Amino acid sequence: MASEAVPLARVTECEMEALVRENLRLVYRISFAVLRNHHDAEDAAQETFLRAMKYGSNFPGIREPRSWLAKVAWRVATAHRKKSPELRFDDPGKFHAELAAPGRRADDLLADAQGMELLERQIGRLPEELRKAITLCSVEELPATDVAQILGVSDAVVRSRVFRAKQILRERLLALVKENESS
Amino acid sequence: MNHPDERAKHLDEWLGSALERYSHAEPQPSLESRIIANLRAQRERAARLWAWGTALAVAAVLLLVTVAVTLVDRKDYGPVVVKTRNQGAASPSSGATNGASREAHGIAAGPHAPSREGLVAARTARRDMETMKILNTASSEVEGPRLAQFPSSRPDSEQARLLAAYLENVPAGEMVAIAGETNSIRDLVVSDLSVTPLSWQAENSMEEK
Repeated sequence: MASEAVPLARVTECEMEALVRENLRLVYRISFAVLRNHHDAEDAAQETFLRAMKYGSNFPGIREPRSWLAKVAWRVATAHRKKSPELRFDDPGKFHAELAAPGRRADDLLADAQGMELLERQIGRLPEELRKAITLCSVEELPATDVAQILGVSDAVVRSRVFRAKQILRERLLALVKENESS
Repeated sequence: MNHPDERAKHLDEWLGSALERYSHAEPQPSLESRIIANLRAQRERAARLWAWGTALAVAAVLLLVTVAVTLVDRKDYGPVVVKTRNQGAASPSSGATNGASREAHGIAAGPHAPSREGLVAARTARRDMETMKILNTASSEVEGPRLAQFPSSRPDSEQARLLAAYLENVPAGEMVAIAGETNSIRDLVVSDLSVTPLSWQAENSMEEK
């Protein structure tokens, strides 16, 4: 991308706007992956770009704004999460609106919503290191190299943690299914 | 395929797709414009703050310079302060100093006669006071703009001032005449001068003879 070659120290207003346009989705998704709430994710995304503008000039060595922004977004979202550790899920109004929209079956939507809630709970119960790794890897725009950079570990460690996290999730979900069947 | 394996496979598929959708969220279309507007506002605010900060800093520096210059000027024109030797002396000499001041003001010492050290201290104190008086008088006399030469010129004495006034009032022709007289004073010198003795001196010498 053209903006990736531009060091942030010399970012002008137009370039900053281009940076927002190109990276908003990534920043928003990272924030949403951590906070699980659209309003909080919007706030975090906004704060991320403000920080980028404020402190970008202090880091003349930044050569990859995309990775740097991903890191800032992760930190901002994590700080938000620490302030309010309880997850605030989106209000049901949005789900009701999706139900009313044509083209999708209500059963599927309901199953999706319930499945996602179950997954969120199970990911929330994972050890911190594994939770961080699988949360970041679930963002499709973020390659494993960037995840490793954000977490400060090697690519191999990231892959190992994601594998272990998936294994634990599978075991727990199987146990839940068996429990459900027996009851 | 047995039942548990099939179930595990199905669960794997579900987990994979659920994890793909886990962070799949689209930002609202208005978020982009909101963020850009916010960034612009922030930039403008920062620029305004920077301008105000710079202006305040410059004003503070100017104020400091003005105050410093004023203080330096005051220090230059201020009275000369002379510290007397006995001002900062330790307590033993303070008694002597008190005695000295009493003596200086004509107060009797009482039953305790002043010692030699006390007298010396009294003399020193008196001398210091006189010096202070002279310096204060001189500093009060020397007022006005400071000259650009160093050391600055002392005030003229009364005699010098009178002479200057006289020279100012004397017309130019008279000055030339005086100068001419001064030059011809050599004519008044008598080389072979013999003075005859006075009459009573001559009488006396005759009697002696």
